[in-house]
Amino acid sequence: MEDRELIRRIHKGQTEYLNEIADRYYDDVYYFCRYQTGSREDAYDLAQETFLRFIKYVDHYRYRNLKGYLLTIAMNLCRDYIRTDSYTRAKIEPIDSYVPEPIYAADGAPISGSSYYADQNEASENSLLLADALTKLPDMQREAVLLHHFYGYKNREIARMTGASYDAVKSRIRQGLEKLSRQLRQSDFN
Amino acid sequence: MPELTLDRITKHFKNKIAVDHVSICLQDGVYGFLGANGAGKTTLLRMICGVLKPTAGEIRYNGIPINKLDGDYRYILGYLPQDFGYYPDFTARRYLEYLAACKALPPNISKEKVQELLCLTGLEGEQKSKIKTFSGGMLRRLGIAQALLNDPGILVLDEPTSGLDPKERIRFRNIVSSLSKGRIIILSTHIVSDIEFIADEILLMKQGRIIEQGTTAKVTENMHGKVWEYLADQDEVHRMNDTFAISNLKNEGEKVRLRLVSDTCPCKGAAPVSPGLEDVYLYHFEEVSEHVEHLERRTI
Amino acid sequence: MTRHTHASPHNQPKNQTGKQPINIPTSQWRFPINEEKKSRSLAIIYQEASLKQIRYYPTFPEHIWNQMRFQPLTHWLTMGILLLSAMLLALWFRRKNSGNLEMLTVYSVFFVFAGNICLSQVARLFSCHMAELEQTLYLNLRQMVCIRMLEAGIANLVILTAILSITGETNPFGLGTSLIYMLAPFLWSNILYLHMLTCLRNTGSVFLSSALGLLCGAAALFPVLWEPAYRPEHLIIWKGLTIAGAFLLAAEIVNLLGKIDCEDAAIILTR
Repeated sequence: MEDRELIRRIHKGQTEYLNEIADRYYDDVYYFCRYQTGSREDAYDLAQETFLRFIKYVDHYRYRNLKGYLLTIAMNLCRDYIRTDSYTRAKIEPIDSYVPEPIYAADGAPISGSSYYADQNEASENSLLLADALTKLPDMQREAVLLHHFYGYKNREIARMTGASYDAVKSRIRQGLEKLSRQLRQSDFN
Repeated sequence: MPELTLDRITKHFKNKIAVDHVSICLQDGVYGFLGANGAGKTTLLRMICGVLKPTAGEIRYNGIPINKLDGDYRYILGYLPQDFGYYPDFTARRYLEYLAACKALPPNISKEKVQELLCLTGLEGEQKSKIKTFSGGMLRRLGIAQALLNDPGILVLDEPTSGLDPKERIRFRNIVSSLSKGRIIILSTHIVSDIEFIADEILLMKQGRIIEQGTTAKVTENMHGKVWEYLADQDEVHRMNDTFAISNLKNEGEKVRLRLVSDTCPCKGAAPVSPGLEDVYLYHFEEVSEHVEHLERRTI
Repeated sequence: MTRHTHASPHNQPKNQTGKQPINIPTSQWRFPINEEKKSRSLAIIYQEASLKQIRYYPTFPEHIWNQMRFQPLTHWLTMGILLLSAMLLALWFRRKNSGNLEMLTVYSVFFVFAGNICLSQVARLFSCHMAELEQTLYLNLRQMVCIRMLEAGIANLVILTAILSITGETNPFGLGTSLIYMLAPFLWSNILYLHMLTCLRNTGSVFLSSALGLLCGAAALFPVLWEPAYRPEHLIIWKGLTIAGAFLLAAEIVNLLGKIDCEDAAIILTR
């Protein structure tokens, strides 16, 4: 079912379709919060809060671009989060203390088979390096890079979501990417 | 819990002060504004509904001024004005459907809701009759039905029982009691029995001010030792009536049992009794005409 | 619907400094999520969703439709009869092929009637003590007045277009001139009506509004009695009347809305 149809049904009072929206976009929102704040743990709370906010204001929501709207909510929540003290603790979450979590397939069953496990683990370590490099970017640059590079939004769309001008977004992405590339090259990112 | 705050509300009409620095905080429950005609009840209720704007002071719902909330406030408001309006050539059903549309009820729900309220107010038999054929009591019931259309969080009823017969009054009281969970119900009346048993809080209004406020028990508590009963001779009654406020009288053979309100013992042989809300009303309001009229009707 | 989220090389900006931009495939940044924490978090979201009560916001066209559908049948009937008789009269004039001057006068009288009938639907909002109640509804009195004014405006425009297109080629004056001849009485009758609404009581009564309508209609007939009215040298007076009428009408509307909004609740409460 298309997003537009989901929203239409929700507006007609069929609130069970809110669950479908959460299922569909939870991961996207989670990854955004995870990289934007640098905290693997708090990102679950932030993703959850994003959907709770969405549910609270859904009656007012006129369909445009649902994923973009959710990411905008997430972005605002992350900005608030970064401003508060809890961020300073999360930001220095050391990489060394990372204990690999059990890996699950999409259906939730633990995956056995060493080669898959190893691949995923390597990916996870890369993702940690990436997250670490991203935390070194200024917040605004990180937002823009995430939205552009990972989520594939166009500069104009990012400008609308972040409330910044088109030129500002363009320069944030460029500077952000340069800094990120430098950071990743210094670490052993492969 | 939703909260309606009146912060030093004042209303002037030209040079007359109708409401004078009223500050109260209302939460879930039934609030009964009791006062004589002209005490400022209707003016206060109109300000709560946003029909009149206070000269000074502010009304807030959950901390936000109601004029800021605007449509969002009216969305949760149900109001029965004292002079309740209707289009005489509408049928009861069409009238309710019209108001449901103006209250922004979803079209798929409004039909059901109208039917439900016609049943609740006992008008389902008259739903296809034009409103101009309705009796006073039926009109009042229609008014109550329209106020409930949007399942309001704040329900304001101005003199809701005027024109209702005793049976309809009881029905009305039962409706209000059944609705009182999870909403703020504000009703004004000058008839004590309307609110004595259903209001969680009584607010006595006089000359634009709230002079007493609390549960029925608390309001009557201050009256202990001020209500007396006295068995008088027939010829004494007239003299007593001129000197004291009499809240009840009952013929007992040759004599008359008087219930009177007085700060001190009115005469030898009078015994103090426990006060009721009517005694409180009588104590505070000098213009008792309507009240006594009401009593007389009951005693006859 | 799903957006292309891969960070493929071609959607990376060109690197002007010559350094190779780093390539990050999706598998690198989409690490596996802890399913337990995710489902715990989703459960809370589901819980909130099940408690959610969706509030309905009618759209603007819905508001317009709601105001229209509760206008009485008699209103639509009178409008229909008015339009029909105007058309029949036009045909009759055309067959007679004479009296161009009278024709324009008669049309302007029709137009005055149409204006008053439409405005009576605005006045209806204030009748029968309804205004106080309407002021407390989600769509409040001010908004209802605006919507009904808009409806009245559209209806009048339709009627005006119909009249002007019927007269068409038989019209001895140009389109602009006949428009002025028709607008002047229309605007002034509307001003009178609105003024009555803001100043007098009991304006909802059918008697008063129809009496005023007839009076205005009779006034609009005066060019029949005074032939030189439509002479070119008097056109400047008609123009002046139209312009002044337009301004005054706007002022009356602002005044009405202001009275609803501000302290002066008399307009709401005294009827």
